[in-house]
Amino acid sequence: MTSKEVVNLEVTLAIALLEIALEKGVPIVISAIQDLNKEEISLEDIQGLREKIKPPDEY
Amino acid sequence: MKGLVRKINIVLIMMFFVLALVQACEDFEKNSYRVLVSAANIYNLSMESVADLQKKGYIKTEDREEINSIAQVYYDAYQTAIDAFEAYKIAHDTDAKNRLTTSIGLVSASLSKLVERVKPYLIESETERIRLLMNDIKGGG
Repeated sequence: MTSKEVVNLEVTLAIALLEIALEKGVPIVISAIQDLNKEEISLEDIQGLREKIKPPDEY
Repeated sequence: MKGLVRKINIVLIMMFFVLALVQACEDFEKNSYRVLVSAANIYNLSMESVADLQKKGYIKTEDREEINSIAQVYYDAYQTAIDAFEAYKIAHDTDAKNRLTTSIGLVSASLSKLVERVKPYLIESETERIRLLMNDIKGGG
């Protein structure tokens, strides 16, 4: 994964977050920014990624 | 004295390479984490939008099933990438790094497919929302 691809994904995310921030408020944006600014990535952080999404039929 | 200076230089150069290597590893981990967090957030937003649009009647049941099957490919790729990330965090070797890079590539590709499939419905609903707003403005004026 190149830095350019990371930036592209982050720009897409930023736009999506700004849109949802208008609907659902600011806390979700703050949580995402905190996730993206982690200084060190632990094994627990990686394992925590699993709970961030649900299977498609649960939405 | 010259020998001592040379030894110090060699140690400094070795330290520089070790630090550069550590930095590269940290950047790779951070980048991988950031990509997966971003991808998870985009997937959540997409699927929440899909559920919302289905409730509003923009997405029919058969279209939802097709979207779910595309989303399932992403979901499986994402879980596989986390397995690869855990393995890399433990092993820190080239094989594990390559497997993680490949699996993140699959996450990215499957997410793009999902977003492309959902985008027309979002555009349709947004267009309808704007049209209704314009009608309200015209009616009010």
